[in-house]
Amino acid sequence: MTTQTTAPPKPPVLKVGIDLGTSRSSISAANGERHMVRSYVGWPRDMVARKVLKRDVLVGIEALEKRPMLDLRRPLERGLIKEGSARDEQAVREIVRRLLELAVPEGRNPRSAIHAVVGVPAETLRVNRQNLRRILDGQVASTMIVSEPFAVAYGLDALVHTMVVDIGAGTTDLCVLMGRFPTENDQRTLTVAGDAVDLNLHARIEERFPDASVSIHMARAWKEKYSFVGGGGPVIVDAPVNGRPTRIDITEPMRTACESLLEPLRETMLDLIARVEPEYQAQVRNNVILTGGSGLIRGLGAALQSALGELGGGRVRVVKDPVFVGSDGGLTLANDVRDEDWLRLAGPRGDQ
Amino acid sequence: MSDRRFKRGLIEAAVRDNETHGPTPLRSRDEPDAGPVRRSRRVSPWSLLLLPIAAAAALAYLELNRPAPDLPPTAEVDGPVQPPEILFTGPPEAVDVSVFPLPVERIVLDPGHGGSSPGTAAGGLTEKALALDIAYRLRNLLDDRYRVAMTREADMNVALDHRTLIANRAGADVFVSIHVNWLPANRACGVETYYLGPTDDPELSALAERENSEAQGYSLGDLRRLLDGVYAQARQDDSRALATAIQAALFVRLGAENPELRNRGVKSAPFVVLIGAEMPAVLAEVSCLSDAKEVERLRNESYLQSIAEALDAGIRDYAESLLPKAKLSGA
Repeated sequence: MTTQTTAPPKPPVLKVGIDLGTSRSSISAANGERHMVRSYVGWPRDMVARKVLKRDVLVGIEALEKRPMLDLRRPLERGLIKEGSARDEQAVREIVRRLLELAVPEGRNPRSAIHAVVGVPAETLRVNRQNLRRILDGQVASTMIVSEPFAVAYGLDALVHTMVVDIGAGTTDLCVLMGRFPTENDQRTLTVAGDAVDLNLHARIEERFPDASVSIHMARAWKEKYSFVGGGGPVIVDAPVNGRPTRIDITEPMRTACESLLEPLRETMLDLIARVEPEYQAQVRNNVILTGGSGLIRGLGAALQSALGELGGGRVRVVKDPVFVGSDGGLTLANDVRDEDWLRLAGPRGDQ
Repeated sequence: MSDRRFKRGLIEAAVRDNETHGPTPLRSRDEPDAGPVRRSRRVSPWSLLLLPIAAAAALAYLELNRPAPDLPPTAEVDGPVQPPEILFTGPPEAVDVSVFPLPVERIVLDPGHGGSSPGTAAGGLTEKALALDIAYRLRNLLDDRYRVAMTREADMNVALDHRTLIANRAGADVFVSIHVNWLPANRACGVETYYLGPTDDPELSALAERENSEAQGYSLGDLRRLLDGVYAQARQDDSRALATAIQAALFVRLGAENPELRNRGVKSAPFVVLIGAEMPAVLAEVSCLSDAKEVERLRNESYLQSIAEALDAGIRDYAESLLPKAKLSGA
């Protein structure tokens, strides 16, 4: 006797876009959920810390805040997963896991029914692609990994004669979109980015106020709040000096640190534009998109626009909400990928 | 060109880019026969030249290993594995795996000890129960891609030579024996993975002696003959590669949970349970019951799951390392 069995209904597929950034990571899901976590992961340093924290791993701002008790990692620091560092790989996995937990309500969409487009710094894509794929295996059914600038451009529908300048924490990615999938020749990655500004600012503050006790995290927080290039200020903050809270003026350190981005950015932009076919160069110059957390530094867009004057002028537009622009672009792309293509991209554990 | 067609082209390029750099896509479970995929490959002229040699070798191999009429049925993979009747296995034949560069499909897991052989024990925990628990967890992790069988699925006696016989009859590509160690009192807890080979280390000899204590059906002369035949074979290289992958995964994964964990490395030792295996075979000492803190960890289900996940990662790393060879043969 044969028995006919009915296959269980397939779970609904959920498309998500993930932006795996050096400082912040975000997810945009087709179910309307959008979440951001800081790209920090920490493990309790010892049994005491584990007992106090009551957790085996902390992710995001919570990890940053409780860092004295943690072995804290920023796994994509400088835009790369450190080769052979299992801790950093595990940290990336924890970040993705947390993003998925936030965006996918419990039990609604099993991981086997999630298709993800993951945007990463261009350098990560070049060097760590296999690592990254291994890390993502088992977390979702199918994955497409693209560079962050491409995801941003796709989401903004700016795929032709466009330059995307994405200034993140660890890297600055520049990418020229000419209506084709960008290759390595169309992209440049600089390690001069938000973190470099933080270090620069921290060093200048220490130099100017040797008695002040300022951590790199304090310098970063001030930069995120008060950064500027060109005219701006004053920037006056509270810092402990010889143990006493004291107001210090960090206007000049802030200006100098932020302006350290300008020269390498200007050089790379001009170099990339010079490689574009001559008849399209003016269009690219007039279609520069500035994004990323550090793209919000006041006056930076105007300064870059001014730099384009050397080549006959141009126009720089600044993305006002850079936190989700990468993941939103990833989601737009995910929605456009056909089912048969997702099957081609299914990982070893994909069972969609 | 319309916007839609333009984007379609970009997406196609992105998919190709991911495929080029990504892993081999696997067949969906929704397709018929959810078993692991063997990709069709073009045959290179060089491999055609090898065919007569391979065929002759295969015929000779089959002739030498013609099954006796009273053999037990071949062990089912994915189903309960019955221990076969006692059978003396002949010396394994040399197999040059580079002639048959095929991906890993079938895995046999061997939870150490069982039945009247508890293995090591401490604080109410026994090696035999822990090994079985971990093996079940590991099977659940692996069975999305591989066909997995276990040499025992309950607390039962299975002779050491039967364990590899089960793997041989199942046509396994990988054999992993799971054990829990007992170290001298002054030694920190660590993980170590063994493949078959000689050792001059008296401590390893003692460990092998402990793990071999259930060995029956082999005489000393048999063991010497088997070992002499085994050491020179290419399978030893593959076993070492498998052991290296598993050891790395064990140390990295478990080290994250236990900073005091020692990496005791990949070693060779004459374990009887590995002798008869015709495929890459290793014995993993995944923990140790001689350490009181480790005993407490082993009471925790999440730690047992971590051990299983580490073994899973190691086996997958090894399996994936074989894929480029498979690709080359089809070039």
